[in-house]
Amino acid sequence: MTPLVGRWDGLSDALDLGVVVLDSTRHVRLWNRWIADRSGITATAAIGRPFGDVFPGVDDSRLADVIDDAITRGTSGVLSHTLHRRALPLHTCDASRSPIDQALRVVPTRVDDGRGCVVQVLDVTATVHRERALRNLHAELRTALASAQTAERTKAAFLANMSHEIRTPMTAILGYGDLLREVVADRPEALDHLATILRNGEHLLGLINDVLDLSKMEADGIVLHMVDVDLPELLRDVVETLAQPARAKGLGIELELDPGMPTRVRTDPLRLRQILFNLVGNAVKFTARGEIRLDARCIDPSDHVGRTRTLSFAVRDTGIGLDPAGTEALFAPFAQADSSTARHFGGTGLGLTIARSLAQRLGGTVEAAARSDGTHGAEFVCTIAAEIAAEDPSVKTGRGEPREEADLCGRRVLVAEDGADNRRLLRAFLEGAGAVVSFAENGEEALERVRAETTAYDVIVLDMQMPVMSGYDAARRLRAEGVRTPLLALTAHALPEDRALCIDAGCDDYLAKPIRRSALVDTLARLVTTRH
Amino acid sequence: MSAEPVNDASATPRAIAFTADERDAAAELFNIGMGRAAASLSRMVGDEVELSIPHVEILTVETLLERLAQQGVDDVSLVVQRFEGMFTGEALLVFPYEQSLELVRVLLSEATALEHITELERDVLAEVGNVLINACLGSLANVLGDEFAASTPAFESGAARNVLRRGRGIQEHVLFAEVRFSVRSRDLHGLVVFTLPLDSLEHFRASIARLLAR
Repeated sequence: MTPLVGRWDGLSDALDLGVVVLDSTRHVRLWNRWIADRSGITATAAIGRPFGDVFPGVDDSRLADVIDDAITRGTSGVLSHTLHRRALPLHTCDASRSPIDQALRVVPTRVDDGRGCVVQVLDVTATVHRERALRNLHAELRTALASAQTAERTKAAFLANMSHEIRTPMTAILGYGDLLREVVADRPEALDHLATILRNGEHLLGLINDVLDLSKMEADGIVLHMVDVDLPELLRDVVETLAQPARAKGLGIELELDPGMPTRVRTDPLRLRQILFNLVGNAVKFTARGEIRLDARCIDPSDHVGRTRTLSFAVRDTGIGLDPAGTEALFAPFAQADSSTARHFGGTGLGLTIARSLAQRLGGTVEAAARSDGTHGAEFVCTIAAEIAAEDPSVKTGRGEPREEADLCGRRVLVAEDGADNRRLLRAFLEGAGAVVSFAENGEEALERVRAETTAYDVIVLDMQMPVMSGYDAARRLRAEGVRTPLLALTAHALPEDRALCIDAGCDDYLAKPIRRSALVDTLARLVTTRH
Repeated sequence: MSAEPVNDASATPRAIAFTADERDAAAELFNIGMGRAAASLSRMVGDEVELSIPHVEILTVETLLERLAQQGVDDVSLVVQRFEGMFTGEALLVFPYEQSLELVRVLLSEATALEHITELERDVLAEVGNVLINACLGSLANVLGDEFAASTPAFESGAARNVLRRGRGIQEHVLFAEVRFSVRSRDLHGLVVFTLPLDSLEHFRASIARLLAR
């Protein structure tokens, strides 16, 4: 038998793949250099011998079937590297003699006067390695993603839980501190110490609220409560509240309302107030002398009811100013321009992150800039999209009006609260306002007391988180039993949706812990008078 | 003027269909080839693979696409081989995209679930397609008393209405065979489609009719 010459010769040796030509009797007729180098069998040794002799073990394999089909039936076949990684015993030419991963193609061809076939062998070792590495990477990424998602959920749950756990003792700390003020009224030094305790307590509470807000926002859990709002009143309230700390630093705050600004708009007042408090509060914090301006205007003014307009609130100060390159970083969580800033000026570094997220939920954003007029200081602009609401002169929120000192003289109050510290505190608050106070330690006890003396209580205060029977269940049971006494819910959860839960359970109003004396007494006084 | 080409999509198609008996006989003929293909696949995956062709039909590309759409099949992957003999055509093994991924996973007993076909899946599907198409071509060749030289397989994927219509008229007739795979107690299905000139299809149908008459 002779080797093939002519069109095959020379050309096949130049190829970077294995080429073997078999004739109709499956004898080797061509054996190129590639296959010779990698099989360790020379062309001289292979040519003229049956393929199955050259590679013992091939005879009973899928490769033999494919060769058979090509020669007897004229079909082409492929052997994938995945299913037949090493169909032939081939090794690299280097000293390592590593096995070669292969992909094979068998194509029928004319040899002499009969039909033979060409076997092509491709080295796919690199492809196999890459594919395997890719798959491992994919599996690792999946695992990493799953654990990251679990960690994220755990973190959110932890933050919400911690916030709850911290708010409850804060009630006792701030409440008792408040009470002590009267006890030590004649001792200036003690009053001073107490003021420090209370100030730090308030700061800690602000921090907890920020962290809770942020974790809720990350979980997309903030629910907006859109109502018609008297905008000038809301803005004046923000400015008036912050005027006091500003005055303490010798700063003035100016509110400028553009005449084109609509009076009533539809938005979430709680969240808008939170954004503006944050921006104006920051301005107070970072300004040593000069003044702060809050300019409110309507972009593209229109007084058509129901039209959505963009409202802009620009807060300008004469403070330390901003590094123009660092303004975007200010909005990243936990970032202040410099970590020493937090030590010097206080704050969590979450305020701007929260303000921007909230503004985005309200259809706008918050942007920072160095003052455009070139003077020292910073400018933060909050925009929101709001619908213009109809004027409603009958609605008065009453905010800002001087309030009479409320009193609960002779009112009978039942308080269901499981924490002993908080019971003592509430007793002090309520008895201080002249109320007659009874206590229950859980919802069930409260129910029993009410059943025993139904008409006796003027108002019932329910802590929502209690053992045995929660405040929610107690409220539902009381209402189901036809008890119409006003119910005030106390909860450590400070979110608007918690309020809805309390109201749904049958409560008339809601206060979030820590409970302030004035808020508690005012609310109870209002509940008692509206019901009686 | 020359005679109108038989295969012009715009021309009124000549009605061509199997009788019930012919359909059964055609399925039986294709199944003969499946035994060998199943043996090859079993050897490849080191586990028993069963193959069957329960159903063979002649229908238009349009009807085929309508059926796939009714079954909710949108994306498909397919292996195509060109063949030449007494006539030239294409043989396609078509899988709903999800089924093709599932088939590879089952064949390789692979736990990692990739959402997309990569090189590895392409290779495996091309070889599976190669085995099946060659077996079917063998059956076709036996009936027609001819043999076909087939090219090596190529892989394609995409929306069924695009990849199956490429280079084909919507009214063009195809020979269609449903294929069932049973491997490692999983059942998967695909379909084999032969695009042949109408004359050849008619020739194939007539050959089956002759076999039945014998």
